[in-house]
Amino acid sequence: MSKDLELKIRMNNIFWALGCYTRVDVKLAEHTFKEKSPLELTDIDILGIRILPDFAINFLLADCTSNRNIIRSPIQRVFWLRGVMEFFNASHSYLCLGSNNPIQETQRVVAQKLGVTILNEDNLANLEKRIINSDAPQLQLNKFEPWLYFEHNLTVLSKDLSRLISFRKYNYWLNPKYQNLHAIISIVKKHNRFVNEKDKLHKALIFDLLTLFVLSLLQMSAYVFNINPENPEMELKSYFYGGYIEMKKRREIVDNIKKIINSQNQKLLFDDILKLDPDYLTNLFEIGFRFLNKPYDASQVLRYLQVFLFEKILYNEQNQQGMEYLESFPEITKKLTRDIIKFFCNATSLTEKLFI
Amino acid sequence: MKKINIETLKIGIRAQDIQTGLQDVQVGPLDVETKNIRLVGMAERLAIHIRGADVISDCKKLEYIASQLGIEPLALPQVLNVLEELDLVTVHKKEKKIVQVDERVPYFSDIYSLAGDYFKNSKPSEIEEATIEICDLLSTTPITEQTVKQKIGLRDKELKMVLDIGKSGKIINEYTSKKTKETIFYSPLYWIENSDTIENMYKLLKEFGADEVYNALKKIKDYQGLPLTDDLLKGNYETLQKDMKIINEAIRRGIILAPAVDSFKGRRNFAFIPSVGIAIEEKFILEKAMALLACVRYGEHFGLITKIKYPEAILDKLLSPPHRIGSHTEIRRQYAILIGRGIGKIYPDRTNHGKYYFELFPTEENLKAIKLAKSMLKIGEVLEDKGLFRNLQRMLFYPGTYEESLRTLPKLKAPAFISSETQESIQDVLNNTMDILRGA
Repeated sequence: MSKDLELKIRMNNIFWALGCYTRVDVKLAEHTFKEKSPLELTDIDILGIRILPDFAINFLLADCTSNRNIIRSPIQRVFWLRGVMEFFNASHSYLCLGSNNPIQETQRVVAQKLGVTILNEDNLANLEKRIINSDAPQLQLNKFEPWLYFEHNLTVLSKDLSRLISFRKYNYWLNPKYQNLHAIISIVKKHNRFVNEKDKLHKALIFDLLTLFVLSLLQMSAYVFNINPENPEMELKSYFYGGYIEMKKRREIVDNIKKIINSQNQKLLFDDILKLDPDYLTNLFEIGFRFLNKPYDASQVLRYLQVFLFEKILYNEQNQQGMEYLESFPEITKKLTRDIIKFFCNATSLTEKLFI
Repeated sequence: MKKINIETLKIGIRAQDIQTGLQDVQVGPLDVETKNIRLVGMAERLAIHIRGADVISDCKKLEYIASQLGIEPLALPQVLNVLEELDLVTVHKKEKKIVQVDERVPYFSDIYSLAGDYFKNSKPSEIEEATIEICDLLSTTPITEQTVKQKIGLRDKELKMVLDIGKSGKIINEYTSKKTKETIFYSPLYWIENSDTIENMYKLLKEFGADEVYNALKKIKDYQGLPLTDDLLKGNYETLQKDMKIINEAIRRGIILAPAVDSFKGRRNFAFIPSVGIAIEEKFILEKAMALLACVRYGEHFGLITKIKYPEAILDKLLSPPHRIGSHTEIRRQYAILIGRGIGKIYPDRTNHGKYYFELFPTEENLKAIKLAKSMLKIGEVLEDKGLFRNLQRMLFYPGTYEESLRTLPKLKAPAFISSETQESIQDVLNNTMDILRGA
């Protein structure tokens, strides 16, 4: 294993021990005028997402490198990392260096001011001792091979699924948060015929998209939790459309289209299509509201799904410790996950067998 | 008998009404004739009580709650089975024993349409269908025996059975005119048992015919807050169509209520049927709900500059903080009747001269009134939290064992109650004081 890979998995495990849901090699990209797919600009090695029971959503980042220039003077990289933090709205990040060279105190202080902790290998080892519980179960997601296996195999899936892969890699991270709810449902629905319920990697891909969908759902619940959970329907709707003004604008556009259609005496033909709210919207709000009412249990769903993906889907329940850990999640977390799977399958016309 | 022909939402609501009425009644052989209604009604009532529990792993608690709703432990699996078929729960069993129930009763859509549909497909008996249909008729208006027979197409023997069921559950009662000895049926659930009102209703039915009265009243129930025409109110009686004549008479006799709103397009009245299925001790909430809805209807029909397009959205805005609508030029007059009722206050927009805000006082009863107004907009009667016993529901949400939660129940008594009149007078004094402090 290369040095960078080793550092990545160690930071992944620290974030996991801190209560985060984690992702490896998250791409930062932007749309271009010419290309269909977004253009990759840079990436972040480890992204940790921690949901607190008050729906505060913390993003933690880790950049792991053995690059000599960076090791020599890490402060340049700190400034780059600060920019990436802004992009993800991250609260803290770690610059993890594959060396034991001493780090100048001034650089450490400036980095700290920017919300970045610089770690050399000694610092990293000590951080592990402080944070990781030595009795914690050994999970597949704590090792690098399963990550490599997962990420690598997704890249060789059939071309029919390439839009889904591209979405999880780029679009999800550059879209406005509220758009991802419909975007995921819509893209999965469009490609559902290519998904083979018996193919483990197809399952893993869909499961990963479902997990991203849950993150968006948690972001929606967090929005309502902080604005007015007592009037959830209105707030959920406003979030779904990107705010009241956006919702109003979209309603007006639909009304105008209706007027045009009606003037052509085609009302009956298009009446059932010309509605702003998708059919699944009420059921989506049901789940969003259940999240709001059980914040602690909801906050655990992402981690539950991550363990489920690695232990059950990718490694077929081989790891006893992993399976015991999966079983130890709160009953309500498991039930909320079942609700989401049911909803997701209904909304995307996928079979629930994919998630068994 | 004709096949049942009412919407599934109403079937579901009536099934719950009937099961609630029959809960503690031994109807003996008629049990067989009501088994589908009772099963659906039980399922609905259990559903609204477990909503939000997510996971129920203490099945003893569930059994206790069910028993308080008239669901015997032996019937509980059957009721859960209905809920499972409606996709509202998943029952987990171990060796045939229920060990956990996953709940997913919806918050944002009604369960009654689902349950009504289930009832329709459950091959109900003629008696059951007739009971539902008669209860639904009586929720709109009292009706003569003759009309019931005609409308439902029942033979005397079957009608008697339906009446026995209805009377046992106190959902149907009859009134016999002292003068003519004729009988009319009414529902005490929807019509206050006031002999004057019932007598007035009887006279109306005699004068215009039960069918016409039913149709006229249904028109209002289907659109609570129906704006009344000038002709109707100014007493140009002869020029009125028959349904409007009935409405006119019904207003005169206090059967229909018609609060007035006075704004830029003059004074307008809006008709309401007060039979919405609300407990008598909560009638003041109904008065507030009618006043609110009348103001919104004014804006919907007579708005001078912009007409209200989405009345429910206005009520939603009042329901959530800051409980405020506006600013708008018409608010000052259009919502004025709400001030005297202690529902809220009106104040000017400091940055837009001539425009005003209306802000609700978010008391428990005002919020209930808004919710009732929303239900009245939707189906003309109470829908949200219908038949919900909050204390019973809380038991399921209390962490701990069944025995512990039983011990907690006495602590869950409702807080002290302040009547609307008291609240109104306190608010008047406070408003006055605030005005003085502001230099008025």
